[in-house]
Amino acid sequence: MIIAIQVFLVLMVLMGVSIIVLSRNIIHAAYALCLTLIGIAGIYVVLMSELLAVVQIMLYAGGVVILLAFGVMMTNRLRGEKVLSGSNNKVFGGILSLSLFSGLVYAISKTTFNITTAGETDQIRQIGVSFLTEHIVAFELIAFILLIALVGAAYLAKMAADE
Amino acid sequence: MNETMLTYYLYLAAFLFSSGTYVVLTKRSAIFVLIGVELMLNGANVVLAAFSQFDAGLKGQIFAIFAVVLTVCEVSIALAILLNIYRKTKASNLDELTEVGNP
Amino acid sequence: MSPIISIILVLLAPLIGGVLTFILKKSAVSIASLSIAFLTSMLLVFSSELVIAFEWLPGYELSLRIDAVASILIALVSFISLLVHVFSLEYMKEEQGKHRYFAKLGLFTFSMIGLLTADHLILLFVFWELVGLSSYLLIGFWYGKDGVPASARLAFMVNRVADVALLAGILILDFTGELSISAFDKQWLFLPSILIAIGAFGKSAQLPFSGWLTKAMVGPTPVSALIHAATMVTAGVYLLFRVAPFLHPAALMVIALVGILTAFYGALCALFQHDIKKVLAYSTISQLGYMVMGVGVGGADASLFHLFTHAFFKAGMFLGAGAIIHYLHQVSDKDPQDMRNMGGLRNLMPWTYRTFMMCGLALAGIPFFSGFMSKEGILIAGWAWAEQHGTWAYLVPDLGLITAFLTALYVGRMMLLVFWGEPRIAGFKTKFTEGFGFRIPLTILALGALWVFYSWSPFSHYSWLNALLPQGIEPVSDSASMIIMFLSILLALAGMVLAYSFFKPGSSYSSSYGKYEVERFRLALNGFLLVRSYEKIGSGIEQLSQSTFKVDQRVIDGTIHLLGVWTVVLSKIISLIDRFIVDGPIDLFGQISSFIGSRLASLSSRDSQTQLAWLVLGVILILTWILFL
Repeated sequence: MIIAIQVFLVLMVLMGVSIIVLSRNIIHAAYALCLTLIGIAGIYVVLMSELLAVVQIMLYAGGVVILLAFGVMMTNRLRGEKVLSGSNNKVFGGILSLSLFSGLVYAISKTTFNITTAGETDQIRQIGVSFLTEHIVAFELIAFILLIALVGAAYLAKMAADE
Repeated sequence: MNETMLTYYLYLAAFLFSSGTYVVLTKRSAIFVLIGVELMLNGANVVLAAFSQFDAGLKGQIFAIFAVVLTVCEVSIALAILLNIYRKTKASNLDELTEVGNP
Repeated sequence: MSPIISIILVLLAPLIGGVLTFILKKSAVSIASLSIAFLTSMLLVFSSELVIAFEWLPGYELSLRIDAVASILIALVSFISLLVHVFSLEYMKEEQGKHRYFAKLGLFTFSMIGLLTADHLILLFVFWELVGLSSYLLIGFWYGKDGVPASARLAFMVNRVADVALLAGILILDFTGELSISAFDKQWLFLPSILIAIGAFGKSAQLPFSGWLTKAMVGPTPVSALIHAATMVTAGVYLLFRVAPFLHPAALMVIALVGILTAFYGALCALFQHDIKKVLAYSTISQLGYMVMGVGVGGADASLFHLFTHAFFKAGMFLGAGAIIHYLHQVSDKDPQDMRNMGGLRNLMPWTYRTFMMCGLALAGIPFFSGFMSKEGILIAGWAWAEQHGTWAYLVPDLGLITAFLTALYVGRMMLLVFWGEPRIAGFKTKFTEGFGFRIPLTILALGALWVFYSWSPFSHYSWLNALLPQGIEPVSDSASMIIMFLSILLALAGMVLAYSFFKPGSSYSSSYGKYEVERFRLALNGFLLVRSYEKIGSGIEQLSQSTFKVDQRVIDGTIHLLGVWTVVLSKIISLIDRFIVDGPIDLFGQISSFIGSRLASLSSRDSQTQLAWLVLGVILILTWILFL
């Protein structure tokens, strides 16, 4: 059963990625990215990282993709036609990414990982505790950075609107 | 969860990363390039999540969560900048941007 | 009153008053400020010693100090300045720019009082220069007149020459120790002593610097009374008797000789002058010579006494001369300062006559007047000094006695020519009534020439002023001092009688006054060519610099020019070598690298994604190296 779910999720990711790579339409690519991200969230669940999965769906699939869609709408002249993106360096880029992929696969297959599975624990509780103890500074900082980024983004966008 | 499974997840992560690289390198639209960056980041996050199964401290997951949040920041800022550039130069493709500063 | 307030009042009141006079155009302001200064100085006389010190640089603590001598002299300066201000009110009434005049007088009074309060030699030097500057400004008050700027400049420059010596002396003293007058304790070496003495000679118009004082007479007459008779010229004497205990004995001897020679020179010249102000100027030089000699022979206290009495009677004479000049200027077009144009003024200006007479008798050294007592003190000090130094040293008191005789002679001549006989030019009919602005100062100064203010006995040569300074010399025996006293009385009376026999009304000298003196005594008339010698020295220096300039132009410039030509030739050769041998290889390298660079530049494009692709290729290459090598 779990194998079937895994295969389904991987296929979902592969399909999303393929659409992104092959399509010229940006809107399609954005929705395919949404598909991919949900697939990856599923994989996180399989990997028993429930919190990460939740964050992935909320922030990525919910936030980033919608932002991207808005971005597409605001930075292209929408005249009822498809929003297409051209490509360049197709052959060169293809060769490069293929060789990168094969190199990574080769490296992974050659490596032996001497690892043992950690015991089952209450992962969400553990993460919550370590956020508020061990990683408290990073946690506060990231909240602060998020705030600054949002204010900054709003300011930049307003600057553009004022032009 | 054993070593074989881990290897498959790593293959998936490598695929995601390479595809993202391809998108970043070839697509002309700036939004498309951002999508490629997201793919690459997700590949990295998958690696972190996969390895954190073997770590009782769950450092990988925590780091992945931070990475996700930072990505949101990055995307919002990047989009705001793109919006600015578009308002100023009417360009949405990266190879049209050849000058720095006020035109 | 606290010391700071009183010092500020006495020091700054004249300056502020002068400035305000200039701004508000009200002459009364300066009178008021001078009154404040005078009253404060009277308070200072009766209060104890005041000191204000402040640090200027590390190790240089500048200090103002008012002790008994300084306070007495400050009172004198502010009092005479006040009288001169009052006199000037009337004298300068018609004058354009009289407010500028009062402002300058204020500056001068400030500087002079500052000089008297300064305890540190550097501070004293600053005020010394300020006094010189204000003197220059006041001499040149009528700068539009012919010859006035040149005279002012000459007075200023001669003073500067002496001031260089003073500054050099101060610097040498700075190397060897203290600079505060009150902190000196040991005797100085000869060089700083003589340098400081030379500085004092310049300010006090001693030989060879005497020439500037006669030139300074082109200024307004009240200025001559204040600056060039009563106060500024005595600054040199003041400095000398302040530092007298520390001067080298040889320097003191030089001071005594210079002083007595100057006294003799001044009296001799005064005898042959036509200009009434020049007579008074040479007389001042002569009296200053007495004071300087007094310091040199160790009678500093007698010098202080003579300074004080001289300030009164000489200022009185100058102001009287000012009144005469004022009168002649009104009634006649001829030179109002020339005694050949005067005569018979006794009946026309009685008030001036009486006061001038009292001051003149004091100057001549007639008993019952102040000048007799103070001159007596100096001569006795000179006698005592000569007793210690052997036979030749009697030259000093002997010349002093001869000078006393000459003094009586020229004073008698001046008074007979000016006041007695009949008027020499027409128009002297209207009687002149002096206003109160003239009368009050003249009367006060003439009263100051009486003996009672200094000592009850008219034949004493020791007054309350002498007690202020330590006595430097053993008093001579009573018999010697009696001899000197009788001698000087005798000589003064003889001089008067001789003057009367020559210049009595109706005598040949008196009636045909204009003819006889001019050619025969040209040398003495011109002050023995002292001023001319300054000009000679000046033109000699100019010729010397002209000739050195020519040497410079021909020899040194020629050499340098030749050198320049050779340098140009050499550099041409070097530039050829440079161009072909050194530049060639460097150009080659440059061209090679620009060729390589242009080829490399074509690899990268304007497109950021292509650049990124090359970057990824680099990453892949590194990865390959790690994996397979």
